[in-house]
Amino acid sequence: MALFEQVVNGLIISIFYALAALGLSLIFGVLKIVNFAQGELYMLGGFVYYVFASLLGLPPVAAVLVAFAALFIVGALVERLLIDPIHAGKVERVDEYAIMITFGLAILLQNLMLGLFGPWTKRPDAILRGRVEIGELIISGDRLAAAGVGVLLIIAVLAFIRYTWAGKAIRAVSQDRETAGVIGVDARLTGMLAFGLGGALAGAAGALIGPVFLVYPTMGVIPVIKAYVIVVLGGLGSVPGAILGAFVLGQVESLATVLIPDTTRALAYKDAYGLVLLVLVLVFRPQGLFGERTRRA
Amino acid sequence: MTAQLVAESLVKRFGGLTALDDVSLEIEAGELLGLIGPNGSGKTTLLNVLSGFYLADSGTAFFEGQKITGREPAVLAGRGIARTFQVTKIFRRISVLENLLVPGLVDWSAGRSTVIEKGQEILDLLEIGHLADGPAAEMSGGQAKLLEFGRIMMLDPKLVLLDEPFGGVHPMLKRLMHDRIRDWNGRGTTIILISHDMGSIFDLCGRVMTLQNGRVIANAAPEQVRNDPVVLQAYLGTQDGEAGRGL
Repeated sequence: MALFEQVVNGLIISIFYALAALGLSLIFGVLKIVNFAQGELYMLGGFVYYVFASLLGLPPVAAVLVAFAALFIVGALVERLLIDPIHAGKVERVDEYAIMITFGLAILLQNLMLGLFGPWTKRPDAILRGRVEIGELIISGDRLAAAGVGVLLIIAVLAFIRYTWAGKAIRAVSQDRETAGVIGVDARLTGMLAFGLGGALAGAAGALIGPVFLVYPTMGVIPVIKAYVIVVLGGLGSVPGAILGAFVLGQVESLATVLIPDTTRALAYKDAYGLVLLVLVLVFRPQGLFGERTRRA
Repeated sequence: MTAQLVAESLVKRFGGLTALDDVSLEIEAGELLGLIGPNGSGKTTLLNVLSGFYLADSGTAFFEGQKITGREPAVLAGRGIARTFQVTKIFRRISVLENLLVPGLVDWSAGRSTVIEKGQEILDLLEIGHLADGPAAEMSGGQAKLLEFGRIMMLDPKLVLLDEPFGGVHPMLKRLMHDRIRDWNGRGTTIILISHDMGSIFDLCGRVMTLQNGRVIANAAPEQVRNDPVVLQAYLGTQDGEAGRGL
């Protein structure tokens, strides 16, 4: 039973991981940059949820959608103001610029929220209170409800990418930006859309996880490291890879805790398993599960 | 009559190398112009400037009276300028048919089924209709060239820039491509064709322009260019040189 519980816990945590990693993967896929501020977009989502659900009294599910929409706008603005110069040919050292600008943004956002809300943790209202019993399995309501909304959001985003006009543009630009431009796809607008969507997914993940793990200015630091592990595991820029990577990491973390009988010590090592996994992937399959081998000239 | 495409004194430098050196040209609507020259003569650079890939250092180009130099490739595609690449560029991770349904190519206002029907018709015309639902990554090099052709056909372009479309293509496929180019041109589409395949150039083109070291050294009817001593020298290297690959 303990093992089954761990599998279910791993599945639930995987959904939150998948939301955060999917956004990172979308941004990398289309813009070919690693967004070091992704954790802070996740944190902003948590705060937006806290303000709308707990301070303004909006129904929790509506507050998640507000966080999704707000972070879409934030992401799109960040792309247009800070990332677009890369593709407009205004930046010479693209990789260094992207690292510095997103890293700087992360520090700015953390300190901005520290100034506005202080360093103390906040527990926003949960989507569902209490606990849910399925046979002998007991799951807290806030986790289960958040995971349910998370699954719906992931399905909605996948359907958007697969079936819509804009989704086709995202797939085309992520495969070949130049060719997409030549056949009339507005690659700059698509980049803005992808960053907006990536921000929205991070924001939704922060909003869903806020009631479970609390909201505070540095809440995005550890989850974003996990998101990096996941996208490297799945293959940079691969959407199915991000989802599979999230489930692999969730299960590894969850099941590995069973190996150490003392639960306090077991939880302390939880984050290390993901990093061990990252090292193994980088050594044995650096392109990840779904990534393609490429070599830069 | 005003030419459809006018380029005036285009210059493009890469560091110390002048890839285009005061290149001017005029093309009437419906013309099929061959663009030849030794490797490194500036042919692809000219196409890159005309399709918005490169910014010219100086000079201007106009298409149907509107300035096109300095415009984004996506904007030029919207104005009816389409191109292919020397190294075939298809979207490998989506299906063959989906390659023709990429947004910029498609006016969805015509209705989803109409658009898909058009895509399938084009694939059938190029004799790759049976591959429609398969992944584009599994196509052969020649089939990928045809798919690139098909993608352009979806745009219904006014000006097509073809960069080495016959490179590495089986003779059977080449004949098919010749037929499609003639069909296009017959319907009034203007075409600029870059190729090292002189048979194709002289077979298809009404006029041939030759570049060497970024400069235009000949611009005349195929027969004249074929016998032009300056062009022969550019290809052979010496006036009285040993047997080389002639035109």
